Amino acid sequence: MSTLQNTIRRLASAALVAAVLAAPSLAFACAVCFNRDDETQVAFRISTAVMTFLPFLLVGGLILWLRRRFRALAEEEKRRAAGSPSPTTGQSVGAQPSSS
Amino acid sequence: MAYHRTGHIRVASESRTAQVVSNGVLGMLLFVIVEMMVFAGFISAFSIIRASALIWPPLDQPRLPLAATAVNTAALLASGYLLYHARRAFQRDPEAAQTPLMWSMLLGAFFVLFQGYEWVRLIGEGLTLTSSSLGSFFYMIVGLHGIHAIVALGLLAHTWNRLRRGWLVQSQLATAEVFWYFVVGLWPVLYLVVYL
Repeated sequence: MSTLQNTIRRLASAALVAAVLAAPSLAFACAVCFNRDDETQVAFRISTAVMTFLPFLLVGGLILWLRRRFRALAEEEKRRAAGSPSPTTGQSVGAQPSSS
Repeated sequence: MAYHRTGHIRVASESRTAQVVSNGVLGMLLFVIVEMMVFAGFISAFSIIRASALIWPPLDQPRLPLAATAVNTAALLASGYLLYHARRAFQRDPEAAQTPLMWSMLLGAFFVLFQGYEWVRLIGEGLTLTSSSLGSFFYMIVGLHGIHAIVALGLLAHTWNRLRRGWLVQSQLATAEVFWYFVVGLWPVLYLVVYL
């Protein structure tokens, strides 16, 4: 492919992106949803953002929390191996619970 | 599962096998995530309907009880705090967790009963599931939360019963806690979105 063809393709792509960005209303697919005032559109955008990012936030938060728990457990395993007392209970981590 | 005595009640102790998180807590967390998305969907739909309405709330519909529900919100938040206090007490002395757990349950029950009373009043004033979009969303969102609150109260009652008998282990309390904190934490959001 020649340099001229490449340049034309890039320009055409840039023009398409610019057109979409310049006229976002043309990109709205639903005529029912976007036929009202600005307030409705703001509500739609916020809702879309929330519904898009909330799952990532929730699942990401869970994964981060589990990662912290894994690390804390690994630290405790190390302490147990060394036989030092647990910082949380003050007891030797390897101590068996009393039972009756 | 082994049992040992503290005071006059038996206390169950869990296996010493290292576990990152108990199955119950992990399962409940995943369930809570799913439920959060359900509520996010309802809140999203409600926000759009509210924003696109010419007049909100509808003129012919009764106003939602802001002040009374604020008091009820405080009761639910207090219930959440008492459950947190119960867990702290359980770590020191399981017997001492009985009272805060019981008060947490009672405040939760007060919340549900008061909500029921408000519903009866609102239905009497003409706000029904089919009277307007406000009524539809109000009963759908608040009702769904109410169902969660009732189920969580059942779980708390089961937890309290196990504690009383000395059969409760930390992970069971933590599982009930996750669900109740979800119910407590979600409510102020619903209050802000639906009532205000």
